[in-house]
Amino acid sequence: MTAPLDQPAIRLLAIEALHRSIGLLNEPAYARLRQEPERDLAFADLELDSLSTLEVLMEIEEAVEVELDPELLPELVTLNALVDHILASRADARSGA
Amino acid sequence: MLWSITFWPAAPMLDQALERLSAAEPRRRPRLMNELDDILTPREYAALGGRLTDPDLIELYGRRSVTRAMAGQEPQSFGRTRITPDVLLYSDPAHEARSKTLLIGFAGRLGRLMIPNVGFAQCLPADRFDVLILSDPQTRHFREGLPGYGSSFRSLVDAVEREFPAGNYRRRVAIGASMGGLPAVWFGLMAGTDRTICIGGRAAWDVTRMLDGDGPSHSYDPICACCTARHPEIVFVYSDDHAIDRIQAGHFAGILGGQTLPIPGVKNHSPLGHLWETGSLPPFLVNITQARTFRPRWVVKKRGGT
Repeated sequence: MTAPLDQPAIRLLAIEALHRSIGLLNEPAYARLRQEPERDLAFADLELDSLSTLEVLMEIEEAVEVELDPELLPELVTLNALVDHILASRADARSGA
Repeated sequence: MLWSITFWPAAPMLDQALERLSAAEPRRRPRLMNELDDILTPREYAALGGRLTDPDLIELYGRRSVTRAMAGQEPQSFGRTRITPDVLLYSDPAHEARSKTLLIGFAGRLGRLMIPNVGFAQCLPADRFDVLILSDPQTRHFREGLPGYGSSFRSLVDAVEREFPAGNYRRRVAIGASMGGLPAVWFGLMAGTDRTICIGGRAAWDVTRMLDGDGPSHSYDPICACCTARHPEIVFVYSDDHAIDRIQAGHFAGILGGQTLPIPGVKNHSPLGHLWETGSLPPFLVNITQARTFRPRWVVKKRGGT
């Protein structure tokens, strides 16, 4: 059973997972993502190859305890869209949907 | 004297790998496979495929990039020596070091030279190359050394020099990717390699580390205009359609007078991944490491031209 987490908490977990896997916050363009909740990130801008994408995905899965379908990724084009998807998945898991 | 050597016999390694893969939840298996990619030798990887019995694992193995890249090829005969936890040597002891080139590889953030280590090894003939791969899991750009290899970049260079002196090999080439790109250049400058190849090299940007209380302990960088050391031919390779990498390569080459080599048509940060997936990486690596006068088929822009 997943414990409830709000949108900012999920967002922070996802950012830190991205940082662990690809050093996101060591890129000047993304360094303030943690401090500025209104900032978003387009995954296409990271220009990840397929191996890096898999690593990022699994790091996020472990952080937020939600299984992410790689097929869905093209639809989840931004960090905030991904966070919304994770929130919905966690709510479904708690309700047994 | 090596700091410590653990020989990983192939059969127990494969037994362990199979046991872990079989016991893992299905969604964790791709990541386990990724970990194995960076440990197994080409022969072990090929043998692993033959020992799988679980249909899901067979399907997973079959659709992997490494499997596709190795299809129809004889696996290279490299053995593996884990010198320290972060230093891995692929070498076939049946061939004398004196007749081989040693590639001293500085891995990127994921502990690879942009592609799985087993795939990288498979691109090189084992009778002509040894491959040393250094990883920095703390992602400090190797500036704090590595466990067993000292606590500074200088001590890391000294350790590699002690274990793999220039006189033991026909040729030594430093190669680094992404986070490891500039450490390869530093190594080339400090140790005097025959060639240095920096692929998608990125300068360290330490502001976030400093804010997190994890900043570097020193700021000396041998890549500066005041560096008067005799340096080898340095090649900066980058994805031509990746703006940040193109700018950084031009900047570094401008300082050091190296060549820049754009890989055309690649938008992401991994030109080696593109060459690997298109089957071009084996001739590329042999050419860029061996040619006395490096003249690639692509347009070479000299002295910082972008």
